[in-house]
Amino acid sequence: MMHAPSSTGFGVGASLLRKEDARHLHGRGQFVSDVKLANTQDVAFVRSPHAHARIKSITIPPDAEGRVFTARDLPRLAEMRAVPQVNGFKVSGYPPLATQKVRYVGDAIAACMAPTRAEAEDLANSVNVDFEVLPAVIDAAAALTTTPSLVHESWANNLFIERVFQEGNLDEVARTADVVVRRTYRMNRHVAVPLEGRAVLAYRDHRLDELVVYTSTQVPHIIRLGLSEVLGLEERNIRVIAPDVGGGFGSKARLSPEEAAIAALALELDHPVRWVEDRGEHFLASTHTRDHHYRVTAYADARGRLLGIDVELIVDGGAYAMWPNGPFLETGMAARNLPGPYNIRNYRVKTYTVATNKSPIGPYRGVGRPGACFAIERTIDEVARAVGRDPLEVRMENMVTSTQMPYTTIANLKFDNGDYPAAVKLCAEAIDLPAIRARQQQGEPDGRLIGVGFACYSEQTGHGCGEWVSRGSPFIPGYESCTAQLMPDGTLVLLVGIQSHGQGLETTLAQIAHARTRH
Amino acid sequence: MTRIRLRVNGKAVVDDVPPRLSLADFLRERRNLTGTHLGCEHGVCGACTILLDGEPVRSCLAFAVACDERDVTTIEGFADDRMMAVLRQAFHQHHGLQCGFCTPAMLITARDLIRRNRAGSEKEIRKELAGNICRCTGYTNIVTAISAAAAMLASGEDADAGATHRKASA
Repeated sequence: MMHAPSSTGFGVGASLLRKEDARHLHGRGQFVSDVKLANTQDVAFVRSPHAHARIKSITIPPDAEGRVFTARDLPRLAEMRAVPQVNGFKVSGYPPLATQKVRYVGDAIAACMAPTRAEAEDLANSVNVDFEVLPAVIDAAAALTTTPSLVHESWANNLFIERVFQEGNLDEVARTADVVVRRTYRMNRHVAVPLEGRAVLAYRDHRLDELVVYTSTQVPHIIRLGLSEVLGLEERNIRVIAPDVGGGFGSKARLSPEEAAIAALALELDHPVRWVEDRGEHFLASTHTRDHHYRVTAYADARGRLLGIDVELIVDGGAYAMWPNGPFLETGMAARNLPGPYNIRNYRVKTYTVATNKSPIGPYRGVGRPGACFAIERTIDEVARAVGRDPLEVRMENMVTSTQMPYTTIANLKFDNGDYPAAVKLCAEAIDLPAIRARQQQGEPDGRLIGVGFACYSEQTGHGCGEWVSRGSPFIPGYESCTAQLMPDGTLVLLVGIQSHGQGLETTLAQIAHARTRH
Repeated sequence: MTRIRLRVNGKAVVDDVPPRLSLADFLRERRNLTGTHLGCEHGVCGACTILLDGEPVRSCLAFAVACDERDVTTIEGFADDRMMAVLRQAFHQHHGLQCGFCTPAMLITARDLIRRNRAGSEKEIRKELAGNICRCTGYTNIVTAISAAAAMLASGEDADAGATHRKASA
């Protein structure tokens, strides 16, 4: 939706300086680890050094009595269970502190508490865990045919879910195509690395009968719901506070085992307890993402016009389903976005979301789409190569044109407007493609090779209620509520659910309020 | 425990510290100077940068015991510093921050490179800023802000900035 520029200088469209800058510029921002509460104790976790192992025993030194907590010491702490409303999805519990088995390197086993983090780490190092190491599932693609072991023993295989989406007549296309191109593509694991890692600080407020949980999260309300499930508390007895958050990028948008464990620990103690993730823990044990394997078969005519694509998509989901949505969100997004901005009317995608002995996956910038974009764009280039034409021309000829708008893709995404071929042409002109082609022919004096590539991507927006239902979200956060309080002095106080982790919402939401309330 | 005597933001401080206590933890946990942020704790991200005897130092890699008789300035210690005031205004004006986690150390590094005349071109600023990571902005607006601050300070209307700096890090 387009907005007219603000006529008042304050509303939507106005260019304003941010309200939140001053505190950060003076070092007075308040991130979770900056919150000081009397008698707070720090936690370090004992984490698994093995990708897959049975826990035979945990030995805690006698002098550590009362300072080391395993799952057995926190009986109120239930497993986190992600139950997306997607047919065929295998549900597995995720114990915040591992019980019988560890399923990835970094899986938390015990919480060790001391006055400082350094002493808590000493304590963690003094805990001895006896493991029986099991074969690890590390290759999601290979795990489809050979299973070294079962990540979750109650399952028949290592698949969270297997799905097929099919539209058009691919068999007919396969018979008539002039050109068949088969390629495999791979996108590696990523981790989000916000500059502030995760952090949790929790204590009991006896006056309000509340468990208070400060956490560096993008989704405080959803975390409250999640904590109420794993702790068996009513939501009204939990207050989640997300103060300043130093970036999230998706990695702070799921209930983490550490959030659950620290909250459960606070219920057992008469003082605040906190955990501040270090960077090593972030790489090991925060949610990972991507890790896609694509096997693409593209059918085209002699000019390179795509007739259809047949794809196997394997997503390495890691060891557990993160609450609330699990790993299929990543797969579904990739499958839906694979056809890209191209006129593809015959499409089949078989998806396999595989459990492996790696950190569980979660959302991260782009959720699934970067892998899909990479796969389809590489495919366009390979088809062009197969028919001996310039990829730019083949790309433009395959694109949805402006006269087709509004256009619904074969994967049911709607393009409302735009001229994609014109955009690509503009890019080619901006970099003077003929000059680059000539330079490639000529060769570089130092022998280097110069490459040139194009990629197109249409960002999916407007994730409303219907979109969340289609993804099988177990609850529907597709709409945002707001409480507005008009004060006697004429100021307006807004209570909102969304959390800023760098977006400047204190400024932009005030702009929206200004635009909506002004007469 | 070792007794140390140092100056933190101009004030004399005496404390008994264990040998392994980092300067960053000393500042954050013992002095409540939480504007010094910890992003990686191994000298890579630069978020914990402070001034030690006037030079930028990663406080996660410095030990508190090694700071006996030294002078520490954190982001909370630039109240009267004209150069920092100009930088803060420029970061605000040019949207040089988003989540704000890298910002205090980014300002301290920026101030140091202006002081050393290393903010002449965009390329130079980017090279000199390589030790400070920002995950939000993509750096463009940070570079613009530093460039604008350097130009403003060089234009002469901040004639007392150098003197103020010497006072701040003395």
